[in-house]
Amino acid sequence: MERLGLFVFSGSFYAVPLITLRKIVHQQNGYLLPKLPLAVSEVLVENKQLIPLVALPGQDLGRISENRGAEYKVLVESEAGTIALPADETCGIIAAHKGELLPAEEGESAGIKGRFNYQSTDYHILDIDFLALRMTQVTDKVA
Amino acid sequence: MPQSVARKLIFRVGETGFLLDLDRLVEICEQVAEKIDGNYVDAELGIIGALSFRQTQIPVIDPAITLGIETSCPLVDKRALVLKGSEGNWALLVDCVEEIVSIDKLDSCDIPPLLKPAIAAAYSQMSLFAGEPMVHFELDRFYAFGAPS
Repeated sequence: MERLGLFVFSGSFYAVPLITLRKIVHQQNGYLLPKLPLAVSEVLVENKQLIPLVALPGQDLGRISENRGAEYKVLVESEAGTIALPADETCGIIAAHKGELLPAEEGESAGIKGRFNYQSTDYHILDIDFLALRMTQVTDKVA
Repeated sequence: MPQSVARKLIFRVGETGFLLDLDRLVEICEQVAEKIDGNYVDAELGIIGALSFRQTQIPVIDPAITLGIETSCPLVDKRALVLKGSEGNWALLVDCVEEIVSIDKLDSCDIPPLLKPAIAAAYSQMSLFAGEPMVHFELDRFYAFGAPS
């Protein structure tokens, strides 16, 4: 049975497959490193492992330093390693059959692979592998 | 292993902590702002001026510029680490010098593969000190004449 972890950030609603969800950390500060890719605002340290906090789809990459202050950070496993996503609020883990799985809307930001409608709210289902690989595509920012 | 290599100097530029091999350090200079001649600048080499040091002028590199690090530390509060290079001494501007640590206080820490393409030109090694990631300052990546002589 497919399950989704739901969270909210900056007024938008997101979902990640439970199978990718590793951990949610609360009020954990990360660290700035030089020459981080544009899509990365800081790195977290978890079990002596560095985990990049990456931008969510559609975010203005020039303003993602705001992500550092997120109340929660959602750690998810991509094919290329663990990444973290910012969250203001977590909304629990919900079985997919309790809502409706829908395709992504036309013109939706890259990194969103579908929608999960649950209790009249559309959650963007994130493509974790895309968000991880995007780190290699956009570089050069001020630390 | 020589004792100077088994210990690292921790310095900070902006929020970022760096580790430097002690055997490369000649001296830590304070209140350097007035001793830097800003007429000698070579942006290509990352040189922001020349520092008067022991009756000579040595190049000064500001890693905040070369690494794109934001720092609110004014020049008057910065320190200069005078380092040995293949062509003689040179100076590195830092915000603060924190402490000297033995390498057995450091935990190894891999750089995530997806970060490597962006940072490889600047550094290739990191360690954790008291849970904080620290960048190993690799001199030859920052200054053409910083390589060991």
